[in-house]
Order: sequence, then structure tokens, then C-alpha cells
Amino acid sequence: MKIFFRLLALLKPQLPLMLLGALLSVITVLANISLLAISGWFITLMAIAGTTGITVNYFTPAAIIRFLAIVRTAGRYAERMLTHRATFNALADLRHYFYQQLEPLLPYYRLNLRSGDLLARLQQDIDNLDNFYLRVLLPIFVALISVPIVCFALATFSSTIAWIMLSALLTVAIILPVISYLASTTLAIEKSRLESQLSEALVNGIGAIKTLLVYQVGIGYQRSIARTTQKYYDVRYGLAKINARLNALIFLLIHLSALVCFIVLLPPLATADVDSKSLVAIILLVLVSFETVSSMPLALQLLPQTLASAARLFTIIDKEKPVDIGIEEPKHGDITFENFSFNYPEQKKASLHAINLSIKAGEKVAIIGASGAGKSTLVNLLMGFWPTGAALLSTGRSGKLVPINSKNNSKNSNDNSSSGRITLAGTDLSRIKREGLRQHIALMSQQGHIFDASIADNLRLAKPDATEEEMRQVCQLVNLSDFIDELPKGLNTWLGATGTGLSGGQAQRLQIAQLLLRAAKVLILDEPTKGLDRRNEEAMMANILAHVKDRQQSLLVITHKPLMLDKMDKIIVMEHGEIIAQGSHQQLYGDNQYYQKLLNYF
Amino acid sequence: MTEQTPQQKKQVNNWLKSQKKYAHGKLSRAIALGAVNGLLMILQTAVLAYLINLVIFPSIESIPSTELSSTAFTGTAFTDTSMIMLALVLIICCRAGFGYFSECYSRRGAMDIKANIRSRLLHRLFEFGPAYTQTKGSAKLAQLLHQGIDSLEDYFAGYLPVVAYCAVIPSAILFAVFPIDWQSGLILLFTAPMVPFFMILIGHKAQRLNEEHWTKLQRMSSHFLDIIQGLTQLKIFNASRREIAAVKKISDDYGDETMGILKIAFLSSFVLEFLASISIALVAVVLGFRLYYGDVDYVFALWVLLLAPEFYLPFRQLGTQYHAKMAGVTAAEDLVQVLNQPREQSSSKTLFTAPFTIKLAKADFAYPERKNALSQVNLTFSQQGLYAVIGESGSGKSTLIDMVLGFVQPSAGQVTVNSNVLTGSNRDQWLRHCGWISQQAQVFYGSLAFNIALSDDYQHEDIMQALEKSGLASFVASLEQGIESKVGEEGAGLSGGQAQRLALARMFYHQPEVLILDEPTSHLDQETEQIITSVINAYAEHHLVIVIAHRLQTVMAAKEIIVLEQGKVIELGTHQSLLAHGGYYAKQVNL
Repeated sequence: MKIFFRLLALLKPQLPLMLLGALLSVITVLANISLLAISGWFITLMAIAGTTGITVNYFTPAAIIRFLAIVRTAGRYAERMLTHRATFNALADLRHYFYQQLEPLLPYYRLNLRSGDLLARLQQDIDNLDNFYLRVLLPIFVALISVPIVCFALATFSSTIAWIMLSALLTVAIILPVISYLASTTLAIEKSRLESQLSEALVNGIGAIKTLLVYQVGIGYQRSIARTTQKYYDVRYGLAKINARLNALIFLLIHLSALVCFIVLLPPLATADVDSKSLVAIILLVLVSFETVSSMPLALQLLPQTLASAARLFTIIDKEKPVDIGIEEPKHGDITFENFSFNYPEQKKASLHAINLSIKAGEKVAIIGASGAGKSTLVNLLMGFWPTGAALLSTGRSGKLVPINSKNNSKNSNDNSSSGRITLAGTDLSRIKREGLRQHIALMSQQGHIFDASIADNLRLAKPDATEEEMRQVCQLVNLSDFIDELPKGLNTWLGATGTGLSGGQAQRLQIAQLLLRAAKVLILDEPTKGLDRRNEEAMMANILAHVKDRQQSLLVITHKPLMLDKMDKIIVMEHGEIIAQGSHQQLYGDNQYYQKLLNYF
Repeated sequence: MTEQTPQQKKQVNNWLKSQKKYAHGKLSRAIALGAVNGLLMILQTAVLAYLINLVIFPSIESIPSTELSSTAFTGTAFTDTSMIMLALVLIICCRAGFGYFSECYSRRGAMDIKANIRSRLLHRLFEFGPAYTQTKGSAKLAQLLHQGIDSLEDYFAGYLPVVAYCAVIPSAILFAVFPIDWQSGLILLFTAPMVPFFMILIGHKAQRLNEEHWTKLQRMSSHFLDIIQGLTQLKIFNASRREIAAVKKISDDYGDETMGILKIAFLSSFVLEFLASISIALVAVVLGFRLYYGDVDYVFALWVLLLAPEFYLPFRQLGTQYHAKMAGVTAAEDLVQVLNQPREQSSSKTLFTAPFTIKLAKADFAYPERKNALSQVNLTFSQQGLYAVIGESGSGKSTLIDMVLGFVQPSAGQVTVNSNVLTGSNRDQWLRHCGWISQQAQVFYGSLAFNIALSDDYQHEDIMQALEKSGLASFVASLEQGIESKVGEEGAGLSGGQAQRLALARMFYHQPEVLILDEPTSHLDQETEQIITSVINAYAEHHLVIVIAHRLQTVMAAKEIIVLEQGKVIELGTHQSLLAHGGYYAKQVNL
């Protein structure tokens, strides 16, 4: 019920349009009912006139019939246009709303939100919500208004009939659907679950087809999809059967209640309390009056499905959002980590431990260390995706007042936790506006994504007003120009699904090009030369160094390759979430064994 | 979407109809039951008309009543009515039952067909392999496999039966009406063809719109997946809000687009209802006046009036199902396109037995609209040992690997394994002997053990051994749930090095005779790299290992180093011989 009203509240902007559509619906339904009843009455009138030879006024009923026919036909058209328009507006609103809510959650909850599953949820669940107004709310509204009107009209002939019909209509509108609702709740939830399971399995499987094929599990995968499909359709068939049963029962009820009304009317007909014209009119009215509630069974059957979809959408967006207390504009200055420790939400092991580090404005710093040493975590934190320092203190969430040591924080369930703080020019990082921070510090992450768009579009993501000149220049810096010049469409070449048209190295260089377009004070490169040849690597790194020097940007490079380390102002060596050494190339080369080993590798 | 020729459209329609066989008679049963239901409806209205007539004009209708009542006491109106009412109840119950079974059969039949199509399509995609899915876009194909196929349901369960009813029910009604009242019969007969005429008139425009709509829907879906996957990237660029605003615009555009189509659909049903209303009114007027002049019996007049709306009902249903039909046809176009893609038919059972010698003879390959990725490649990989492939990025190394795995076939020249030509049809037999590790290990959502065995049915012992060999054992031991720990998409929860070691463990578990690696250590630290390199070198002692490498460390121990440049093999030899040769390789090493 809570979900129902929450959904209703989201649809508020479309309310006027929706109400207008609903009103037209009611008018159309009532016109249709009256049309048939009056036709029956008219025919009988003419028959009686024919047998008895009385002259009758057949102009008035004929005119009414024509009028109602027009109202019915035109009303239906207008009503459909209005209600569908409202539905699509509502859908666009909902989709937008959902994305907005989702935005703060990534990459904070990265692990739980699998994109295949998310896609399924978005596509299906939001599309399922288009049922909410058109097939759920609208029928309820129409029934609520028109059923009393019909029963009131019937009561003028016979109160018994009015009562019979009221109960028959209520049975069709509520009792039968509620029974089938109860019968279908578990199946509906199961259906939603299997639906998203199927979609996710398909998205993941097709994406990983190479691995599946090489390891001979293609057949097994196909079987598991067939099994899921089978289960999914079994559940859907279960729902379809419940629906078919409901339809059959409703059919019975409609026709039998017409018969019952007929029987009830026999005595009054004999005593001439009801004339024969009215008898025919009433019987026809009874038969058609079920149109007022004809959409109710579907509405109540869709209700659990729609609510299940809404509930799942709400579960995602209701995940606690990371705290954001950023209000200050970023100032240019040193970045410092002060006795800083950190672990990710839903993870027990600390990723960073007691980090003390200072990166001066304009400095060139390299971070080296084994995989899993915490290098990426360190730089990702500078994007402000995970609240630290003041943000955690201000809300009193989780055990951040307790210094982190390996065992203590294993009880922290969902939140990230950290102690110490990160500052930029003396300001706690979490007090700086997120967008301002990302304007100030730019990151090329390892999990970069190339969009299904043109090369130029991808570059313009980094700098919306980038000129072609600028784009060509950065491509030159990363040695992509030759490749782009060879393409028939150059910068406007469309990159296929998730950038298939590019090799790994090319995608990598495109991302570096994006970074170089950013007018930030600090540039961070997370393994910029992975997948590149030495020649490419060296040329590109030289270009990057010249670029940052030119613009007086600080540079932070995560690398595991010894190349260029002697051109850095400072080198930080990390291991197991800690900084084990830092200093200049000369210093470290002189007294650090680990560093020496790294350099003497070849 | 490209313009469809009428011939192609016909082909798609025929294909859809031919799918009926996969319902194993369920659809035919559904249609038969529905048709009988329609005939019973004619009887039901007749009985109802008779009943009403009986109570309104009891005196006139005394003669036929004696015929109907076969009970002992004849004549009384009361017995008559109760008998007739009983018959009416019986008919109503029958109709309810028929309706129920018809609906069940049609739904089940449609689902059987859809499940069958999904299996076949998926099977076909796995035959085509990654080269095809990458060009088509895997998100797009996944969407086609799921929603695309599901949108066929209404075509089979809704549209096809209604088409049959359109043929049966109106003609049965005409058959009943004509002998009684030929004027009304004529009205119905002449308005009936108008209905399909108008529908075709409107339908043509709607068809075109509908095709655009479907393309839009697919583009929207892949755009959304793209945004979700790249949301973090967008945030880094402060572009997430902007893109989310674009989501609203795209949805709005989609709504407008759909409204355009619906407008046509509503217009067509508007015309239909208008026609139906007009002719029912005409019938009523004609009957009214004939009744007035005593030209026709009331019972027949009432019957015809009750039948008139039913006459148009199937056509109206066809109007509502027409949208389902078009959605089905457009979805089917894409399905047919994939299913009709030529493939190699011969299911030649090539038996590959180790040891293997793989030969590439004058092999060429080019991606569409690109210059040759490989040209005139002659190579031999024999028996065992480490082969290293090096070259600039974009020099064709990955294509070479795909060719050795049988995922792409050379456009000229050939690939042979022990003198058997490697083709698409014997690819799977060949892959049985291969292992593959990519630049970024693919991690599936599931347990660690599942990720190693790629099956839920695994040997615990073997998993532990594989973990041991790949150096993951201590990490796994530190996890609360051990090998049952869940890992996520794109290896979330695992570092890059751990994911890569997971792929190694997968390889150790499966023990392939031919192991192919694509830059296995490209983003690993030197420690991990060293471990992995030595592991690979050890494996190469008894197996054939082909590795794409950027690191000289990996390459030095190789039996043969293959240097590629712009799709051509420019140097070939051992570390020593290439150094002595003083070419590209030597220059790299001396850097």
C-alpha cells in the first residue's frame, strides 16, 4: 500500500491530464451502455407498435441513438489519446527520476548493482509501470464512478435488480480479481525474478561468449538458458491459466446474471409493473453494464506485478546514499592524506592503512606497487565517491571514530569506514563540492568506459565545448591521430557496442586523450600504459609530461613499469594498503631494495 | 533498419506462420475451440431472443413451444420457459469452458514456440561465435533474445487465432441471418469488406512507423545499458547529470514516437467502430420499420439485432491485435536475419588428437570497412613450447589469435590443425583442446568455484589444486566462505591480478593442450607478472602455448617469437636469432 501511494505521488505532475482522461473514459462507457439499452427499447417499441397499430414517435429515440453512437466513437478516440499521452509523460518522468536516484549510488555500491540485472530492472520494471495508470488506476476510477450510476438507473425500475447487479458487478470488479490476485501473488514475484534472471544471464553470457566457447560450456550455458526459459514460461503459464479461469468465471457471471434478472422481472411483467420495452432494455443494459468493470480484473491482476516492479525499483534507489556534505569551492593547493585508513562498504579488509602523504601543487608523483596494494583505492578516493573524514564524523555513521585495524571493523556491514582525513589546500576533501572537486582533479580510471557514440562524442564528454582542433591535438599527444586519420569518417567514427571497434590499447589511449582535455589542476592516470608497446608508451608519456608542464598541472601516475620514474618528483611505493617508502628516484634507488628490484627487472 | 522489400516481408510472414508447428497442435486446438465457441454464441443469442419473445408475446408464440417441450405435460408457458432457460444455462456453461481451454492452449502454444525460437537463436549465435556477436553488439542480441522473442507472444496467442475467427464467425452469422432477413444480411455483407479495406489503408502507414519504433526501442535499450555501465565514467567527467537529462529527452522522444503509432492504431479502431455503429444502426432501422409493418417476426428481429454487434466483434479484435501483429513481424525480421545468416552446414566430425601442429597458410583477414587486419600470414605452431606474438597495438595480434581459435575464418588462405582445415563447423571440436585467457579475465557472477570450473558440478579437490598452482590459495583461504564466495561482474571484489590468477586457475582446472593468452600480465605488477610468467613457462614444457606479449621477460624464453606489423609477419625466430638479426625486435630490446 505504501508502494502504491509512493508511486501515485511520483505521478503527481501528470494528474490533470490523467483525471481528464479518466473522465472521458467514464462518459464513453456510459454512452455505450445507454446506446444498447435504448436500441433494445426502441426495437421492442416498434414491434409493439407494429402489432397493435399505434403510431409512435420514433424520431426522438432514433436521434438519441445517433447522438450516443457519436459520443461513444469520438469519446473512445479522445480518451485513448489523452490517457496514452499521460502514460508516456509519466513513464519519461519515472525513468528520469530513477536515473537521478541511481546516480549517487554508483560507484559506491558497485558490487551489488550488476549491470545485466540493472538493465533488466530498468527495462522491464519501468515498462511495467506503464500499466500503473492505464491499466490499474484508470479502470478503478471508471468503475468507482460508473457502477453507482448504473445501479441507480436500474433502481428506478426495480430495486431487486439494482441490488443483484450491484453485487454481481462487485463480484466481477473486486471479489473474483482479489481471489485471483491472491492466487497469483507468489507467481507474480517469481515471474519478475525469473524475468530479470533470464535477462541477466543473456546479457552476461552473450558478452562472455568467447570464454564460454573455449571452455566448452556453450552447450551447458544454452541448456541453463533453456531451463530458465522453461521455468519462466511455466510461471507465466500459471499466471495465464489463472487469468483464463477468471475470464471464464466472469463470462458465466455476466450471462447468468442477465438470466437471473430476467427471471426476477417475470412477475412484475405479469402484473404490468414493468412494461415489455423496459424488460428488453434492462436485459440489454445488464449484459452491457459489465463493461464498467471489464478492465478491473486485469487491473487487479496487474496490480501485484506493477507493485512488485515498483518495489524492486524502490529497493535499489532506497539504498542509503553516501553522505555528501560538500559545500566549499576547491582551492588550488597541496593534497594531503593524514593518518588515513579506509575500507570499502561491505568489505571487511581495510584497503588503506595509516596513509600519510602530501602531494604538492604542480608536483609529478608516481605510485608503484603490487596489484591489490591499494593504489587505485588511493586515487579513486580523490574523486569523492566514498565519504571520508568530516563527512563520516558529521553523521556519526559506522565505527569511524574507532581507529581501523584489521579485526575491529569486520562488524561494519554496509558502510565504508575510514579514519584520518584527506585535505585539499587544507580543506577536508568531503567539505568540497563534488562537482568542483572533479573539476579540479581529473582521473583516468582503470574501469574506464568507452561509450556507444562517435570518437568526438566520447572526447566531448570530457570537455563539452572542445573544438575539433583541441580534439585532434590531444589525439596527437596519445598517438591516435594516425589511426583516426585512416578512418573514413575520422573523429565522427561511431564506436560499436561498448567500443568494440577499438583495440584495448586504442581504447586506453582514447581515455588518456579524454583526460588531457580536462582543464583540471591535478591529473591522475591509473595505469595509463597498460597494453601499450614500449615505443608507444615512451612517446606518449613524454607528451603527457610536456602537456602537464605546459599547463602547470600536478600529475599522479599509477604504474608498475619503471619507465619514466626518474622524471618524477616523487615516487610512492605501496604494499598491502600501506606506504612503505617514498622519495625521489635517486633516494629510493640508493636505499630501497624493493625499488631496486623493480627497476632491475629486465 | 534497411528498407524491406515486399519479398522479404513475405518471407518474414511466412517464417512466422511456419513457426506454428512448434506449438505441436496447441494453437490449432485453441483456434478450433474458439471457433466452436463462436458458433455456440449464435445459438445462445437465438435462444435468448426466443425466450424474450416468449414472455413478451406469449399468445403469438404458442405453436413452436409444443415442438420444443418433450416432457409429459405439454403446453404450459412455464415449463417452456424453464426448459429454455435450462438450455441457455447449459450453453453458457459450455461457452465458458471452451473459452477457458482455448485461452490456455493458445498461451501455452505461443510459449512453446517462443522457447523453441530462443533455443534455436542462441544455438545459432554460439555457432557464429564472438566475431559475429561483437559486430552485432552483444547488448542488442541479448535484448533480441529476451524482449524481442517475448514480443511474439501476442502474435501467436492473440493475432493468429483472431484471424481465424474473422473467417469463421462472421460467415456463420451471415449464414444464419440471410434466410431470415436478407436486407440485414446484405448490410452486413457489404460493410464487412470495408473493414479490412480501411485497415489495410491505415495499416501500411502504421507498418512503416512501427519499424522505426522498434529500431528506436532497441537503440534506447542499448543506450541505457551504456549509461549504466559508464555511469562512473560520466561522474568523473561531471557529465552524469547532463546524460541523465538526456535520458528524459530520449524517453520523451520515445513517447512521442509511440504516440504517433498509437494515433494511427486508434484512428483505425475509430473507423472500425464508426462503421460498426453505422451498420448496426442501419440494421436496427430496417428491422424497426419491418416490424412496424409486421413484415418480420419479433423473435427474428431481436436475434438479428443481438447478432449484429457480434458480427463486427472479430474484426474489432483484429484491429486491436493488429498492433501485436506488427510488433511480432518487426521483431521477427531481426530474428530471421540472424537465423538466415549462412553457416557451414557440414557437421564434419574432425577428430583432433594431440600433439598438435597448427599451420596458417597465406591467411588473410579483414574486418568490414577496414583494411586487412592480417595479410599473407604463414606460420606454424608445432607440438609444444611457448610461442610469443609481439607487435604494436593494432598490428593484428588479437585477430591472429581469433583465427587460431577458429572464431574467424581467413578470407583467403587457410588454417590447418594436423592437416585438418579449421572451419566454423569443426571449431567446437577444436576448442575442446584449447584454453584461453584474455587481457582482462572474464569473471562471471557466481562463486569462485563456479568461475573456475564454469559449471556447478565441480571436483572440490581439483579446484583447490588449481587455486594452489595459480597462487590464489591463500587469498581464498582468507575468505569467510572460501571457494563458495561470490564474485561479481567485471571482477568487482577481485583486484586485476586476482582476476587474472582466477583465469589461470580456470586454465589449470581444465588442463587444455593448447593454451592461448592475450597479454596475460599487461596490467599486473611485476611480482604477479613474474609468478604468472613462470607458471606459463612451466606449462609450455608439455603443452602448446601461444601468448601475445608486450613484456620482454615473457618473450625471452619463447621457442619462437613472431613479430607482427600492420598484419604482416615481419620477423620470426628465437630471442637470440632475432637479436642477431638486428631488426625491429632488436631495436625494441635495446630501448
